[in-house]
Amino acid sequence: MSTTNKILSNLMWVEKYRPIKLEQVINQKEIVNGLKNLIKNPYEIPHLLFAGPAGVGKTTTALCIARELLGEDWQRNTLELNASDERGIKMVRERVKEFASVMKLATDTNDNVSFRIIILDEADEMTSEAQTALRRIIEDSSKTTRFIIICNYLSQIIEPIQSRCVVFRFMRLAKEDVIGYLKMICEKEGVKYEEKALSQIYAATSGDLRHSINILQASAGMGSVSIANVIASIGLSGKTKVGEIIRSAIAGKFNDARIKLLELTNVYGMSETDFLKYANQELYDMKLEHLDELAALMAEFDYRLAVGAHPEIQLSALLAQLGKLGSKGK
Amino acid sequence: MWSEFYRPRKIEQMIGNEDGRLNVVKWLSGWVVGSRPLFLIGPPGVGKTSLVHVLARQFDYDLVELNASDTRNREELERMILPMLTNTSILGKRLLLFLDEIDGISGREDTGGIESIVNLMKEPTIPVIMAANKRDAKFKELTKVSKVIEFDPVPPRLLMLFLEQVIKKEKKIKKLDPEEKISIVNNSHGDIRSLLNIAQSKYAGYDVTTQDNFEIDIADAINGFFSSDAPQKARDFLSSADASYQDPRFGMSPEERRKDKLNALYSSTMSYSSRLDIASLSSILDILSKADIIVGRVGENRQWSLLKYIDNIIAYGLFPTTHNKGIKYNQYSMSWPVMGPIFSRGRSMKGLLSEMADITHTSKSVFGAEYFPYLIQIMIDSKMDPREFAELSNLDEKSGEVIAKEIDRIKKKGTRHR
Ligand SMILES: Nc1ncnc2c1ncn2[C@@H]1O[C@H](COP(=O)(O)OP(=O)(O)O)[C@@H](O)[C@H]1O
Ligand SMILES: [Mg+2]
Repeated sequence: MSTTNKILSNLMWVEKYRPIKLEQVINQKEIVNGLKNLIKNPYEIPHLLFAGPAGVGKTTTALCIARELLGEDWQRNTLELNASDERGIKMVRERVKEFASVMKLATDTNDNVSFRIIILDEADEMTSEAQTALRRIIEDSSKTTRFIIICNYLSQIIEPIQSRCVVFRFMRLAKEDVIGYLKMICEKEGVKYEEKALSQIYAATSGDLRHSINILQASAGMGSVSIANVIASIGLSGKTKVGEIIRSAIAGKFNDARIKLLELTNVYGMSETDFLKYANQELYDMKLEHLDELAALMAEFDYRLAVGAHPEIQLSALLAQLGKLGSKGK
Repeated sequence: MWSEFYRPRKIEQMIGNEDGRLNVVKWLSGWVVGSRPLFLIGPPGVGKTSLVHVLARQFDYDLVELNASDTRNREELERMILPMLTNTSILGKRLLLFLDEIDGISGREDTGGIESIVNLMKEPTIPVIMAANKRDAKFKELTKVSKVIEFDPVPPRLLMLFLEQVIKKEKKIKKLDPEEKISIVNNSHGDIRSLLNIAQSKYAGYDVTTQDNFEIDIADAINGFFSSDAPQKARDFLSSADASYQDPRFGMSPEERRKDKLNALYSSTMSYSSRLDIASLSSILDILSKADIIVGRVGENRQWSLLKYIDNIIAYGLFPTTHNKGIKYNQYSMSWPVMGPIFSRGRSMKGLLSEMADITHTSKSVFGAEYFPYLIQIMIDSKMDPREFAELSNLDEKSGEVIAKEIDRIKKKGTRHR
């Protein structure tokens, strides 16, 4: 189970500057206000569904709510699950069902609610079978449990689950908010920055604050937040590594691409769906000629990965197809 | 056909599953309107169908048998069954309804076959017996409304006795030696029908039992596949491989992984990939990718019947590109000097990734892609000792070492500080 980790918070700014209270969450004013109003009547709080892009504070907001509702004991009474790590029905049956069937201990009720919270992150990664099973559990356990379900794409959550939750759509963070937040961090940390470098960060992350803060800190580690240092730091991310694989594949270096891909999935634990997600963004950023064909190809393999049994075969097949498209362009 | 000729005429002549048979007799003798229907579950050839036939005769019922494999959808089933359940007296005889092989009925909601049986079976007005080979999720509701009796494979000892009796009756001049008999018993795998078929063919001079060992090792099968000079031959190699199409998403032992046909074809072609041009590569992988979709569907919906297509898809699909290239069986899709270190790093990173994913409230995948590379860099910049970091963060002992190694790799590469 997760523990708040002081060492990591001292080390990494993303953790150090992660909001603890709802009002510290930036840019999502309407959501924060809505949630605050809901929390005023803790007994009537519904299940919640957060949808939106990466790094805009969905998970953080869920954690803030758990903290505010459950008080000091929040960690003991909160189950955090990430469907990207465990996507099947087994996770629902074993982990969710078990946690949801346990009542909150009476001794814990020094605060004002009698339920526990399950935060189900990246729920759009769940199989439809698992989502169907979840729907029953949500219904059966409303006495003991509140769910906060988090996803990138609302459309990938089955209707019956959507209808059981109050939906909050998180928006991409606005440029001035991200830059404001980064400046605040720079001032607190005593770091020098170039205004243009901050814009550069925003352009590279399109509002993903997690990624923005990481780039900021890596650049600061090189001396200052300058354009050159920012560009070097962007290169560290997994997305950039996926970009290298895609480039190798398109250039016909099939085996190079396959080796790098194996390293990414096997050593750094990248999921196949995340690989496709990053690959898609990279392909778009590369501004290639055959973008339409490439997009069709990606969609096809997105489907094949979802229904197929051997992800490694599917991704290798994708790399070969990219190579074939690339050789056509020459 | 011996298997029909030696079908038992009386319950006493049957072998195996004594308790099961006794319970079936008890059920039928105690049957009254409103009793639950009977559901026999057991492998083929252990006497489920025979038992029902014998019972009908001994208890003087008219047996109405529906082989449910032919009637797959709801309307058809209801059209056939409903009249019997409502007009029992019309024929003036006592009816016993037998739905055999209901495995074949679709469990899918849209066709509703099983579901409709469940509804019909709730309060039957005549005794109903159903039979299936395996327990299956689609029978879940059905088992709730019926009395289930399980049948097991017949043990070798009983099969041997039975075989001796048959041999005596056949009065054959030709004698079977003990080893031949044992081989017949073993090859029938607890299935009486198959025992009779094997014995009969043995007397006819055709030895089925030796065919049982004709499965060839996966390595030989793959080598044969790629060196065949015609797609039919390639297909035959594939079909006779001691291997199958499996779904690794449900977990696999190393032995099962070795016997995964698709994986073997993939790793063998991939280990040869540096000698193939991109057009051939993409065509080979596209075939394997399509075959994999079918494997995935079988795993998801248990549509076993789809499996029979895969050998053909692969053999005829791959043949034009792969024959005569000298592709050989290989268990690994990359050379071991490349793959080995990646695997061993992967193993040591596993624990760290999941510990850190918890701490950062994210998935392993996102941690690995978006936190880890920055964490490493930040540790380098701030001269943090990874072992101390691991200890203070209550991470596993090994985690500090693992981070230290990754830091060394990055320092050596010097990717950022150019
Ligand atoms: N709206 C926000 N306000 C303040 N910090 C944020 C916000 N969104 C993201 N962050 C920063 O990014 C990190 C990751 O945010 P997270 O809640 O995990 O995003 P998501 O769940 O939407 O992917 C947090 O630790 C925090 O530092
Ligand atoms: Mg999140």
